Amino acid sequence: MSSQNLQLSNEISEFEEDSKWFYENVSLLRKKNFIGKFVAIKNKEVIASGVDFNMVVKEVESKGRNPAYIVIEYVYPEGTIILF
Amino acid sequence: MKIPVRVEFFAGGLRPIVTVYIKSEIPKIFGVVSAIIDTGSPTTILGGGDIQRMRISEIQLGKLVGEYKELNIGGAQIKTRILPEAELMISGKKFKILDIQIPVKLIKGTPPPTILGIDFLLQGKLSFFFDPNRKEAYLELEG
Repeated sequence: MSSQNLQLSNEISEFEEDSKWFYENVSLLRKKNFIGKFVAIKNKEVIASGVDFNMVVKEVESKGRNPAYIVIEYVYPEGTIILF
Repeated sequence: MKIPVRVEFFAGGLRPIVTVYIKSEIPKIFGVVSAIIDTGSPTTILGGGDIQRMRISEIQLGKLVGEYKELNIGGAQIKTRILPEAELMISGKKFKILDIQIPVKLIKGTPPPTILGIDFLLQGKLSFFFDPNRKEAYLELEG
């Protein structure tokens, strides 16, 4: 595997781990006052948050991260049901 | 060949979710997304937030094709155009998928997540198994 492919594979794996962490810890995030906010997760930690998605993306960029590989999710209030 | 799918509790219920790497040459788009497999959706749509994360310039967005189409999804109202061709990679397996809906304007609401619809299953020649009782799901390639 080339170093570029290896790096991509690592980015995808880390993204998946952070995504799993988000869904498993959304109750904890609600307790920490992230309800109604977007949270950016890297290495199972919130690295940026806010009510404006674009501001969160900019904060992620300001930390030297490429947001294309960072989990950014919205913390819905408990009990919210979304039908897609 | 079976491709594992996670089953996560999200926005009121259990959802089948996969991590997808998406790449397109024209327009230039790449990034990783968490996608919900939704057999109630006829089309695949890239999440509004996901598209913003990928920092796609106005020039690149101008390379999307087709008319502006208004969609209502998950309480949000969005306008979309078509990404004519993209490569999706799931668990190392690549799929070439045509005509993905791309949100170009959020009219109201919270941007919806990425959804893999029936068109993805058809084009990828995949069947989909989902058992919410056992929290088990997977995609299976034909043949």
